[in-house]
Amino acid sequence: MSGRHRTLAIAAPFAWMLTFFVAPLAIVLKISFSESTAERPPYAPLFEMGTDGGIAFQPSVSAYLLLLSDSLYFYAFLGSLRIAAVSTFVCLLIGLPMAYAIARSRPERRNLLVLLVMLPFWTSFLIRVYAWMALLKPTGILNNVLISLGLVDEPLPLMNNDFAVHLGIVYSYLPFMVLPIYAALEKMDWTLVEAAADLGCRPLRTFFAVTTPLCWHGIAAGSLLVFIPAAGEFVIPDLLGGPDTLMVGRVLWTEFFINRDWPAAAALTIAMLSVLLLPILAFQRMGVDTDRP
Amino acid sequence: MTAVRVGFPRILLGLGYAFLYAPIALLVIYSFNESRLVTVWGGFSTRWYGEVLANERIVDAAWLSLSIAAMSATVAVLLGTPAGFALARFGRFSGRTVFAGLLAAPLVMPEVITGLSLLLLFVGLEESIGWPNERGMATIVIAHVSFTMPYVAIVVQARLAGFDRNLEEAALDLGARPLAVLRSITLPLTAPAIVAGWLLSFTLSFDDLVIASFVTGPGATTLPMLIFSSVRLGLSPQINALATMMLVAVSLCLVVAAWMMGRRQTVSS
Amino acid sequence: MSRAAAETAVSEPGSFIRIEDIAKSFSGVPAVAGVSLEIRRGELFCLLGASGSGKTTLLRMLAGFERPDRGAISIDGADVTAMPPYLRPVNLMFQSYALFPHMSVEGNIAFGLRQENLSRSEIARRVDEMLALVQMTAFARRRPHELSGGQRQRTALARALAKLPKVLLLDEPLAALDRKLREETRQELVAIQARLGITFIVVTHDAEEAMGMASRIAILKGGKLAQIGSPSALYDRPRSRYVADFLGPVNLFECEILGHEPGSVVLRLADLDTELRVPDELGTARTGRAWLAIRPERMTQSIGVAPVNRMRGVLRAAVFRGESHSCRIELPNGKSVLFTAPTVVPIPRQGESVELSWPPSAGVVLFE
Repeated sequence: MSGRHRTLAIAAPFAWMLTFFVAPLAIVLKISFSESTAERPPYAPLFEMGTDGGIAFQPSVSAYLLLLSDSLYFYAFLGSLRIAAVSTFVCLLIGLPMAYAIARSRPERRNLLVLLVMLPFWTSFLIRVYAWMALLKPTGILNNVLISLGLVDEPLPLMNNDFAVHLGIVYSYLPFMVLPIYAALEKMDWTLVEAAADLGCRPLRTFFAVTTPLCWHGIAAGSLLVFIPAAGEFVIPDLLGGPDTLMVGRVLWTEFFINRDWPAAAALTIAMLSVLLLPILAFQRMGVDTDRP
Repeated sequence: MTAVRVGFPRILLGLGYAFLYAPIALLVIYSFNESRLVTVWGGFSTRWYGEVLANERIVDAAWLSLSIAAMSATVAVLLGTPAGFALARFGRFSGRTVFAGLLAAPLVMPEVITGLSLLLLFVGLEESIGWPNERGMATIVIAHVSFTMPYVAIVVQARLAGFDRNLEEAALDLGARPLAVLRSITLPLTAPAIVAGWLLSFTLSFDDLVIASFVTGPGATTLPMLIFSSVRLGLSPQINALATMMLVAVSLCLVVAAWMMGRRQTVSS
Repeated sequence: MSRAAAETAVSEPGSFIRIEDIAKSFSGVPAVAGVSLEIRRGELFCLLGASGSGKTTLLRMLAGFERPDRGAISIDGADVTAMPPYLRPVNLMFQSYALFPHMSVEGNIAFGLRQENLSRSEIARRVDEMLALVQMTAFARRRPHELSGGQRQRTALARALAKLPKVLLLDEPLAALDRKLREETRQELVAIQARLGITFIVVTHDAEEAMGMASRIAILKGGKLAQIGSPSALYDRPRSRYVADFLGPVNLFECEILGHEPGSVVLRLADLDTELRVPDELGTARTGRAWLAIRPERMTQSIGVAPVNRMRGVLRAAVFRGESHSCRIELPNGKSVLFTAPTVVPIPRQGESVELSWPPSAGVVLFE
């Protein structure tokens, strides 16, 4: 490939990502320092032509002060991080043995088992959440079955609470945990496990002392792939959560669509990005660039 | 390997699959429920399917979503394939780390952030250069390309990393000019990844609710937006039927794709 | 074989490939640091060196994948230094074979021919010829992943030969094969080369392999030419300790040159404290520190009646190798000396004293 083609191959996607990924984040940062107004669009310009022809810079931290003054935002962040962390942990508890079992199954069967993990990922996210609503509702399928079996007298409160949100996140993001761990395990040298057994290590101990450390990369990638988007999740808390389920994605949505306070939403976005910056950077370091020379 | 050692994970694997598939299976079963009460079985019926197909708002939204998905997947492939090449084949070019980082970040970026930031960009552009004067299909396509292109880049990069770098050199050595090498060696070998990347982008775009909700304008309601507003009000038998139809369509596409890839695989592995 | 091959088979004196002082660095690290070589038409030439010696870079510059930083390469009188790989009359057999996975054996062999304006029937004829040459006719429609290692190797060879290049480059052609197949394939390569008369340049790190097939060998070290010559010349008359050691086991004795007599050098071995005489081939008047190199198989057990060149030690180890024993004796000062005893000769028991001697022509004086 000639130099000109190479430059174009890099420049085109690069320019796109700068324009539609980096620039928007910069604009969010700018608007977060703007005043909320009742105009359209509902924020005061940050730069204003002064009467003397110069440009006046009028940053305002009122949006950030709002975030600090109302404990709702703090609890929303706390709720998001807690729910994302717990869900990630549960995903790991389920996903690690699943990936292990797939990696140790017969080679000709592995592709089918992997495909079965990926399949739900290809089907609509919204529909999968909807499927759980049908199951968990007070008049839903689970409650109907439990009542008709006589196990409970009145419907269990399965939906519109934090439990349902955790369940929905684990369900939706499980494939993102299984696949990277499986990819790491698939490359593993299984004679190491045999060597451990030969040296007298019991299976469960071998699993934690040999297998787990060797697929650390997969576990880390899977955990970040679940944790980061889960922390910003909107659909699941909105559909499965209760009125008191506080997650920052949902608050941001409300701030933007219901309260129409764009500077506050922008400030929330910036706060969210700062909180998630470390995990995102960690993912970047290990994510795409597996081929680092 | 003794049975005891595999037994425990294998049981978990079975439970894992049950967990993944049971809700979907129930959704499909109840889509054939006669009763208007979605969760109470009232006999077999296909009436809700008829109602979905007769519902103009659903059909219009579905068409809009399909068009958006097809367009954004195509653009994502056009931009993401060279990006995958750059990552896999260009060695250490300057800015590689930034480039790789820019492609990795959208994979985990929470949708609300992507959606809000893109909307603010579009509003800002409209203010300053007058475009886009109306948000809708075009802005959704741009937004979808931005978050699906990295997936294409990764799939293409993985495929390229998987085969011998000497292949292209061998073709050059045998007298093929660079363009002929691209046509006869590189593209045929990358094709499965490009197809997979297109399908992945298509699905992600077709499925997206949050980003589209931010960057859309009046008049452009995608299928997920329609489903979401309906689901927020409660369960609806029509949504069950629509969901089943979408599941069947996606499964069919995947079977065809897997079959094509399988054929490719025997050709190329 | 076709007429073109018959023509190249006519061997001419003089240089066919001329490499003049070429050098190549990668991000400041020199890979090839000024190499000049002349290769004759119809030769089976080996570039031999350890990893990092620059042999692969040299090969890639010959194929056209790397542009030299300085120097020039010409083939059959034409300067090819700046010529892209697809225009060079050179083909390369890759170490990984680099068979196109989406094409059959036939398709792979035809690929190069299709890049020229040849008729369909001409291509088919040449492909059939090549398939027959490497005995792959029965597997013509198989895909590379359906072939064994040896079959892949033969397909790669046929593909590279199909265009009847002026020069065929082979990058570690035997490295991926198992030991038994390697020997068979080596003989096959030599036979095919002799039959087609095409100039072969083989890159390898295996001295035994190089000596077993090459008409001449160039040994590379650190991006520079260490020595060039026929296998026997390099083996028997190395000019440096590096070359002597690289080509096979050798005993190196530090020595001091005391003086010159007509036709021979007088030297004193530090380990033995005796004076020795070896034929003076170099004719140099150099004196001072040097090394005496003697191959283990040139050492023989002598019983008492001592010629001039001898040493005595205690047998410490003997390893049975089929046709011979590899033995190690320890000199009084603790230095180990290797010698090879044919199995028909009985060897002493461990701990017993042994006297070794060697013909004067077996010793080579090395200054570096």
